Amino acid sequence: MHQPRLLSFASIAASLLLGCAALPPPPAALALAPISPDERAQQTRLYETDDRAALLGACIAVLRRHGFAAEDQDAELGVIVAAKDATDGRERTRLRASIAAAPAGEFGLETSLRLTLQRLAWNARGRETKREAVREASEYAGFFDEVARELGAPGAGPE
Amino acid sequence: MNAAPFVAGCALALALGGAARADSAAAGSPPAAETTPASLAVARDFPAPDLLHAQRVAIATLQDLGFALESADAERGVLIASLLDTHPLRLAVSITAKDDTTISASVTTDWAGASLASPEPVAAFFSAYEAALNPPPELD
Repeated sequence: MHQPRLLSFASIAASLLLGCAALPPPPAALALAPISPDERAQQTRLYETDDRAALLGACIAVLRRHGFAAEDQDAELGVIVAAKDATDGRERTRLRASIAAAPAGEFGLETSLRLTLQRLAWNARGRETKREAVREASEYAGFFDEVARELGAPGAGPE
Repeated sequence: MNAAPFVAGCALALALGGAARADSAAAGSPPAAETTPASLAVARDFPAPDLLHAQRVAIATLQDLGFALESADAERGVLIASLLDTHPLRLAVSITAKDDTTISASVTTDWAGASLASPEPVAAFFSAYEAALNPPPELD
C-alpha cells in the first residue's frame, strides 16, 4: 500500500542528491591558456642577490607585517604560501599570497621572485563564492618594494 | 504497481537539476566535461638531468598557466596549485627522478574537490611544461 509513496520519496531523495552534486566544468575552464606577458611581468621582480634564504625571510617579514600567516613553505623550492582570513557577515574571505623564488641571471647570481595574489570567499555553508586574481599593479609593486627595503637593497625591477 | 509517483519524483528532481544547469548556462558557462569519482593520474617522462630545476620549471609553468601555488614539497616532488580566477580547477603535479637523466611528471586534476577525467588540463600542462624545459636558444 505504501510502496508507491516510499518509491516516490526514494526517487526524489536520490535525484536531489544527484542534483546537488558539483556541476560539470564548462569547457572554457579546461582550456588552459598562458597569462599575458604584462601579467607575468607584474607578478615578477628580479633581485640582485643569490641569497634566496634571506630573500624568503624578507618576504615572510613583509607578509607578517600585513597580517598574513604562513600556510606552506619549502625552502629548497623557494616557495611560500600565506593567507590572511577575515569574516564579513556570514561570508568568510581569504587573501592568499603564493611566492616562488628561483635562481636567475646567467650564473644564477640573481633571484626572480614571483608573487600571485588571490581573493577567495565562502558562504556560511562552506561553498566557494569567489575566486579571483588580484590585478592591482600597486599591490604587487608595493610588496616587491617592501621586500627590497627589508633586504636593504633595491630590487632591479620587473623581469 | 502504479509508477506515477516514481515518475513524478524523477521529473521533479530532473527539473531541479536542470534549473541549476540553466543558471550555469545563463552565467556564460555551458556544461561539458564529466567529473568522475576515480582518481586519474596521467604520467609522462621528460629528459631532465636536474630534478630541482625540473620542479622549479613545473612551478613556473603552473604560474604561467594562471595557477596559484597552494603547496610545494621538493622532497616528495609534489606541487599543488589551483586556478587563480573563477573556476575551482586544481592540479596536483608530481615531479620525481626516474633515472639520472629522466624525470617522471604525473598530474591529477580535480574540480571543486571531485576528481576530473577530462584530459585537456593535463595535456595543456604537459605541452607548456615540455616547452619550458626545452626553451628555444636565445638569438644574439
